[in-house]
Amino acid sequence: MKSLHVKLNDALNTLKLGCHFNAQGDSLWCEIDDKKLLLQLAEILQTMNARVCMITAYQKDEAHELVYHFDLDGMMLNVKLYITDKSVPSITPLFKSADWTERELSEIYGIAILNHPNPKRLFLDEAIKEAVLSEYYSLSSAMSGKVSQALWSRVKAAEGSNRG
Amino acid sequence: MDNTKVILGPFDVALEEPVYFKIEPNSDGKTIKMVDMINGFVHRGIESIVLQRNFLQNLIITEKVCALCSNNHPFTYCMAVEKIAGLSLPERALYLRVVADEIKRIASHLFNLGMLAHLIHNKALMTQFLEAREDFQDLKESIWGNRMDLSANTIGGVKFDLDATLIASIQTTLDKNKSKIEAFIALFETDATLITRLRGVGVLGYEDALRLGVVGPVARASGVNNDVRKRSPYAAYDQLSFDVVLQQDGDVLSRAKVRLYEILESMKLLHQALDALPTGDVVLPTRTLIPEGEAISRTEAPRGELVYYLKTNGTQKPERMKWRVPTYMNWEALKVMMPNNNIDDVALIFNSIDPCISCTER
Repeated sequence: MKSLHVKLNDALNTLKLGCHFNAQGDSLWCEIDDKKLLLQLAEILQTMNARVCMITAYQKDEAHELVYHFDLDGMMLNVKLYITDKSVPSITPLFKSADWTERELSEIYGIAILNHPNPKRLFLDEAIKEAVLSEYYSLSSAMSGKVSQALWSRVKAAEGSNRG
Repeated sequence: MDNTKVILGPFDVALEEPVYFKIEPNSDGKTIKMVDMINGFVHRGIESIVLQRNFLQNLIITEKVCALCSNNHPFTYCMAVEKIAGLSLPERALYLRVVADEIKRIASHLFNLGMLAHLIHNKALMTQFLEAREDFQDLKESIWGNRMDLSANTIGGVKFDLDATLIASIQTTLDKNKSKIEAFIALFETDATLITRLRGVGVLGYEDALRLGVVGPVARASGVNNDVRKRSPYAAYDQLSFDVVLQQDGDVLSRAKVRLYEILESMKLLHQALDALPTGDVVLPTRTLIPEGEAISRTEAPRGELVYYLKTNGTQKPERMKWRVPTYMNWEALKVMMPNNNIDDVALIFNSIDPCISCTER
């Protein structure tokens, strides 16, 4: 763990990125609030053959925090990004492994993922507006597989419009 | 065949869990050109529900996320809570966690292999796999009182203990089934019919496996070692010896073989853990209030790496809790595995990633 930690911080120092990883427990953490820096960090990690394990998002006061969890040689690297404008550049062009998790946080928190190669909804039906976590939805209306009167009336309505 | 789309699902593709495949066939009408999936039929918003429960109640909720990996969810969740609270567990508890997890892994792998046999219409083989699995189901029932949700973990340790009779019954079950597993392996290594049917189906190459970040037996069948037990050891795994099973071909056959050989490794782990089982408490004697903090933890579930992130704020409910299940990473790989295979094989390839949809969608 120590050698990887030192190696990583040395690389960040050499590139003068103005951030570094701290060891906390058995993983490394880094806090940033600059989206450009996120992309630069992601590029470095990509050249080191890291992979994206997960991205966590949560609301913090009026803003959001995103935690990018990377795996590098069995070590977990957590990059915490603070955003205030509900948008973030996609790292999926660099890491295919970030594809689903970016789409998920986008539909749940209404955070725009800029430059995502496949930005469609992941789990939630198009009829549900974004930022679903801040509102109450009944289970049957939240799932794509809604089996209800609402679905039936939509089918009937579509049938009517098809027959013109 | 222009404009023909083959629709599979959303119900009963391989398993009784819903996913919707949209398949565009090649001009021959028999093989797959492109595949797309629609998910979200069992999205339950569990990540929101856990924020409304306290840390002990969430043990029960996390166990309900998935049936086949049900032990790993509370296990990994407990590890995250314990990291925040700075708890160090009794040695016996760490070993018992390994025992619970490996028994679950064997049963889960046997179930997946049984489904594979079912999908290639080899009912005799399916029966044999499920009969072997039944022994492990019985074992779970006798130790934990339940065949699927073991409720084995709690914050600060485990909720069960093993006495000499139970240890002997585990050892007997392992001894009884070892030769069966070896016979299955011989079958998958030598049986011409089986090999012809499974070889070269649903191939995921090494480079693609790395690029997509796939995990578990899917990664290991393509030669990528992502086994958390070795790469980032937890519980008692650093004190036990076992090998990571790797295959190179990345097809359905390789994935089946990885699971079969892994059952033998799990048996090895179980024997060692039972022989070296330390004496002492199985759980910390006092309950702790969970302070403010954040932690990330991961384990190797039967399907691969399971990751939990937990953030607490000093109240006895999580501020944010997020987890990523193994199958989540393996979905996109289907888009690489399926093209140019027979449409008939969609369910077979799908089953080979050992999909868990209720897990994926939460």
